[in-house]
Amino acid sequence: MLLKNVIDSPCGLRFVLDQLELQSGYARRWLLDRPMMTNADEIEATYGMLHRFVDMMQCIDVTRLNTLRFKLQALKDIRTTIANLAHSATLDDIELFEVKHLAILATDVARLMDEQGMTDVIEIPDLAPVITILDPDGMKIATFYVYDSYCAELRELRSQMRQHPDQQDDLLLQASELEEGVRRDLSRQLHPWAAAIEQAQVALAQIDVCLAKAQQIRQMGMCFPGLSMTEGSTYHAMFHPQVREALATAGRDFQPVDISYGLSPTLITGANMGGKTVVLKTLTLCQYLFQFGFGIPAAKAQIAVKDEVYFCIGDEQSVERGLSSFAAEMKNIDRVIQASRTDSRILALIDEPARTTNPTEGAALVTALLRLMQDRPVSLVMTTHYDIEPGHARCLRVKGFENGTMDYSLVEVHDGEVPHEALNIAQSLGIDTEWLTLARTLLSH
Amino acid sequence: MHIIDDILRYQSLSIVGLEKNTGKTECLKYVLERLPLEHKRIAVTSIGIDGETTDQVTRTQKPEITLRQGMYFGTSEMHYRQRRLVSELIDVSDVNTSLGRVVTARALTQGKILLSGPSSGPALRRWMSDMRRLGIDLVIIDGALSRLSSASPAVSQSMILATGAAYSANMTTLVNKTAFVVELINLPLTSDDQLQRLTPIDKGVWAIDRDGTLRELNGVTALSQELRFEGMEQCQTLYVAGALVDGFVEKVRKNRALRQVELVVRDFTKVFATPQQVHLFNKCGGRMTVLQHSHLIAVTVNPTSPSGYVLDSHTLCSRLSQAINLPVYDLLNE
Repeated sequence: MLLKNVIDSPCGLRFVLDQLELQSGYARRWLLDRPMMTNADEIEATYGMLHRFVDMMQCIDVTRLNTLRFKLQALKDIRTTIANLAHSATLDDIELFEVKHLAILATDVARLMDEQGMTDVIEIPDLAPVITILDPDGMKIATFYVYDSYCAELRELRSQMRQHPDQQDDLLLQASELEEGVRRDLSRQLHPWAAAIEQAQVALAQIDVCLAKAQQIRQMGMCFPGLSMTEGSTYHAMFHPQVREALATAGRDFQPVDISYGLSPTLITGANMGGKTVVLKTLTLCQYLFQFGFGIPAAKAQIAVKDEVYFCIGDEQSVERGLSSFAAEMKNIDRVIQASRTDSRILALIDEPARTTNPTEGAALVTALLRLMQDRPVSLVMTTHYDIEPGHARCLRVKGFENGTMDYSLVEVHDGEVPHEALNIAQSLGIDTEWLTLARTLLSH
Repeated sequence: MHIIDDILRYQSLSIVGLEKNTGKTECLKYVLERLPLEHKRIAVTSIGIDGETTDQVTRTQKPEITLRQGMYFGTSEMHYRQRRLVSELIDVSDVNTSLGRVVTARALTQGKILLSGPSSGPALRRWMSDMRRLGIDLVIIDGALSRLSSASPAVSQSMILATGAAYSANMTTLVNKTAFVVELINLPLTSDDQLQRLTPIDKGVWAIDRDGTLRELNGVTALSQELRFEGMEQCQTLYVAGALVDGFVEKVRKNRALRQVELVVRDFTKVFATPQQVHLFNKCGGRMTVLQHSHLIAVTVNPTSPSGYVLDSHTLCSRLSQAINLPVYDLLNE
């Protein structure tokens, strides 16, 4: 599972990625090609690295940081050139230029990182010998041509060219053969360096990504997560960056939420507009951010590593795929059930399953799903409006409307009974009184 | 010749032809041969029809340009590989054309190169700002065939216009048509105050009233057929952010309230109205101005049309010069 495969998950991952201030297009492509980490040690190492960047950014002076960023803007994607080099092809002038450009850039960035005491964090291979090969005159500037110094005969031809422009075409032809020989020779000398050059390119992308992530942690007020030793996760003051920003634009505050879940199913109930879906979205987002090594939008978090994450939200694109919303939802949940039969550690977040069908069958489907998941290696967090028998599930409830304002915090309750606030909320929205009064009358019968 | 001194006063020059075979390439060659390179860094590129290696119209090979030692140039990867000179690569940009990325290099010997630079205005502007970062003093753009937009003031500060018998073999028509283009290029800038207020606006039709109120005319687009102006009694200035077409100019002229109006367009490349309409508009008391102005350095003529018809060079130069009040050169018969 690569980052680019999940970036459009309805949990809002793209928003977080779009907020990253990456300097080069290559770093973005590299980041999108990262696989989701499922190994705890790897995740810890990634955060260890990121920690060093956050520390660095606290003490680095702004001019140096800007110099580093400016350098990284020059990072180009030269994978094709590196592949040609690795296959012993003869590089042309443009490709040799690209190699030299990258080698000089890598050396510059390595020096800047060294000044910050960061050499042990990300290793940039020493490409000084590559520069020497491509800079015979020791000019240390990132330009390139087949220099006169490579070949005395070439030097002679070129000086003739300048003296006798009328014979230029002939001389150019002779020179081009010599040049090709030089390029062949240079490519042969560079061939053993292909792997190191590639490694340098990746290292620079990694630095770009880490700088951007560290910056984001500071700007969004994110935290470094702890690794949960159990199969469950705990979040304090968790928020959804995109929803928070949308609310801020409207002049409102996002109320952060505390939540934890373990291996036994968690059922979230609560009034409409109580933020249940946002909780599921944020949990999904946090899980992905954790396993791709980003800051976590919460004050504090202990997160368990999962092998698979499923986020089933009611009416996702069902129409486009030609399925009814019910069919699409059933198929999604079915994937969770099939996966739960394996040894995979699974996080499943399901928003109001079976909500589009009749309440009798709907409630039965939801109850059955809870029972089925109870003993499997699945952390299930599910929201519902149905009155169901929770069994072993833990029940959380949105506090809901109090004194005219919505309290989005979650409290633990010991039954699965759902609040009956739909009519009050509708009334507060200013919905037609005739309709609501009639509904109330019907309810009281 | 004064052309060269004039050119050196600006940071950018574009050379555009009103028609194929009006001598645009001759003009470029002429300029490149004469520019002093001792104290100036000069870069040259072209804005071409995307992917054009042979001319789309005449099927002839695009001409190679001879560069002198020390000149910088921007061309596509493909044409860089086909270069016939020794040059040092300075930069490989992210600007893509269908012939590969645009690369920048410096000529180490004299020699020939096919120019195929950035193919869109924004990409060209990006390349030009890269050039300024490299310390280039003057950028010369070989404009596209009959694409005046490559000479837009948004791109270059100065321009040379090439015209000739290929544009029209009738001397009177040629002089009149060319004079009209020159007239548009030389449209005066609007007042500083209006310049500041209108420059950020990039779409719609706007009016400025006598009391200074700036308002967008809702439902009015410069292209719409059923144009109706109402409540224009107080209107002093009209600004058309997009293209200015005949119908619009005519409607403005026929509206009594707008007799004395100042009609502002972004720059001369946005005017698509015919000479007749523009002249009638002026005659009735209207005035046209622009937000961006490009300095026209000279007009060059090629009196020979591709079909073999030849106009008298001397008469053509003097008649055109009289009509436009600017020097006119026949670079081939000088």
